[in-house]
Amino acid sequence: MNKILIVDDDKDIRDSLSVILENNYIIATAGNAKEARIELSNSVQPEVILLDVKMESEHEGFELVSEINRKFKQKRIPVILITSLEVKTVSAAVSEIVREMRIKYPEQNLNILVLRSVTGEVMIDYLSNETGQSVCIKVDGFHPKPIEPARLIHDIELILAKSRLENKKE
Amino acid sequence: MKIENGYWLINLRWIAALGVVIATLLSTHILEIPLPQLELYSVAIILFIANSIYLSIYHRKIKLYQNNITSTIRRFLFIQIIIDLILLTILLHFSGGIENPFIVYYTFHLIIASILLPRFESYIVATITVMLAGILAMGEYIGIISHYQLSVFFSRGYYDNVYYITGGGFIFLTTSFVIVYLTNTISNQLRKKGQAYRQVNSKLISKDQIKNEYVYQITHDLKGHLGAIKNCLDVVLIKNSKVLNTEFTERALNRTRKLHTFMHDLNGITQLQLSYKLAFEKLLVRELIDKAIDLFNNEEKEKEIIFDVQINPQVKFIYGNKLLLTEVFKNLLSNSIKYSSNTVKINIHINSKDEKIRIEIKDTGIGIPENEIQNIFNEFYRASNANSLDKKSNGLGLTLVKLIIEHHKGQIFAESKVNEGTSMTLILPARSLMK
Repeated sequence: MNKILIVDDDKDIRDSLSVILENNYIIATAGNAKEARIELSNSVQPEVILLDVKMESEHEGFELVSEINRKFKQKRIPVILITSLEVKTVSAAVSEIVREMRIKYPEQNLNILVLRSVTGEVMIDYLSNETGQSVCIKVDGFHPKPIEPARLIHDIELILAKSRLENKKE
Repeated sequence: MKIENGYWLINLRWIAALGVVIATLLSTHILEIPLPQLELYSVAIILFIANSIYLSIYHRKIKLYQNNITSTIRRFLFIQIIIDLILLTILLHFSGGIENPFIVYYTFHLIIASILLPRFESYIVATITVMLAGILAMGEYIGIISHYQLSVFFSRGYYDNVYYITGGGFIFLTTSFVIVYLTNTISNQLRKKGQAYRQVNSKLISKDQIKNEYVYQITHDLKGHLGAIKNCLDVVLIKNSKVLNTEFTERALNRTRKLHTFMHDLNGITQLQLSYKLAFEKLLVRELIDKAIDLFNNEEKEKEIIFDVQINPQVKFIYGNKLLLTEVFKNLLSNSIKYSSNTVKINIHINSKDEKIRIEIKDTGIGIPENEIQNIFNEFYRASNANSLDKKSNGLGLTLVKLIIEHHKGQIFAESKVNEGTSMTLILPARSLMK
C-alpha cells in the first residue's frame, strides 16, 4: 500500500480524511510542519503529500515540502495542495494562494512567484532573493475544500500512476 | 501644481508664438499697418526656439526628479514666465509701445503665474510685469528707446502724455496685483477642494478594499467549517461502523455549533455597524455579572474556575442594552477561561467614579504578547499564542465587545503579560448620555 501524508491544521478534516482513505492507503497525519517533520524522520517516506498551505506561518507548508525534497533527493514526493479556493486550474489555485498570503502577511513583503514550465508544470518559487537564488517547489495538483472523497482518491491514483511511470523511465 | 501644468504652459506658448506670426501678418497685409516685420518675426522665432528648449529641459527634469514637483522645477517655470514677459515687452515696443491694445495680454501671464507658482513668486511676477511696462513707458517718454507709431489708430500718440502715463500706470499696477490676488485665492480654494476630494476618494478605495478582504475572510472561515462538517459526514456515509458514526456525527455537530457561533458573532457585528436602534434601560450590575458567571459555572467542567467578584455597594445600576452587555461579559469571561491552563482565577472589580462605572476583569491566563495587544480588537485577529489552546476560535469576539462598548459610549482597555494573565477594563457611563 502507498503511504499518504496529510498535513492540515484542522483536526476534524485530518481525522475524517484518514478514516476515509485508510482502506486504500497507509495514512500519516500532521497538524503543522513540526509534526510533519517528526512523522517523516521516524518512518517510511510517503508517496503523496496532501498539504493545506494556510497554516500557522507564511512559508510553513512550502518550506516543509522543499525540505522533504531536499532530504529524499533521489525521488521527489508529489504534492497536492488543499485550498478553500474555487478555481479551475492548478496555476490559478497557486496564484490565489500566493495572493492570499500577501494579504495575510502584508508586513512580510513576500516574494513568492508562480512559475510555469514549458511542459505546463506549476512551480512556486517562494524564496527568491537578490542573489538570484531561488527555492522552488513543484505543485502536482490541487483540491478545493470541501474535499470530495471520490475525486481525491481519483487524483491520488493519477499522481501515483504518473510517478510510477517516471520511475520506470529512470 | 501638477506635472501636466508645466506641459500646459509650454503648449500655450506654441499658440502664443503662432499668434504673434498671425497677428503680424494680419496687421501688415490686411490692416496695412506699417510695422517692423523683421523684428516681430524674429521675436516669434525666438519664442519657438526657446519653447523647444524648455520642452526638452522640462522633460529631463521631470524624469530626474521622478515625477515629483521640486523647487527646481518651480524655479524653471518662474524663469520661463519672466522671459515670456520680457519678450512680450519687446513685441509691444516694436508695435506701438503702451499704445498697443495688446498690452492687456500681460494679464494672461499674471493669471498663469498665479496658477502655477506659489503666492510669493506670483507677486514677484506682478512686480516684474509692472516694472517692465514702466520701463517701456518711461523709456519711450524720455526718448531712450524709440517709439514706433501705430498710425492707423492715432494720428498722434499719447506715449508722451505725462498724465496718461501716470494715470494709466497706476491702473495697470493695481490691476496686476488685484489679478494675482484674485487668481491666487481662487486657485487655492480649488486646490484645497481637490485635495479634500482626493483624500475622500482614497479613503473610499481603502474602505472598499477592507470590505472585500472581509468578505473573502468570512467566506474562507465558513468554508473551513463546512468542509470539516462535510468530511465528517462523508465518514458516516462511507463507513458503516457504529463507533466511527457516533464519533464523527458528534464532530460534525460540534463544528455546526462553532459555525453557528461564528454566524451569531458576525450578525452581531453587522447589526451594530448598521447602527440598529438599541433599547437602553437601567440594569442591575450585580444581576448582569451573576448571569454571565452562571453560564460558565454550569458549562465548563474541564477546568477549575474561581470567580472573585467585588462590587462597590454604591454601584447599583448601569445604563445599557441588556442583551448586548450580557454578550460583552460572556465574551470576556469565555476568553479568560479559554486562554488559561487548568486552573483560572477571575477577579471582577466594579467601582464607580464621576458618573462612570469601571469594570475590571482580570484573569490568570496565558496572556497576550505585548506587541499584539493593540491588534486584539481587530476583526479576525488572533494572538499568536491563541492557537495552542483554542484552534478554531474566530477572532470576532473582542471586535464585537469593543463595538458594543462604543455603542454604549464607553471605552475598553486591555493590559496583559504573557504567562501571567490579562486584564480588561471597561469604562461605562452610569447614566443615559443619549438624550
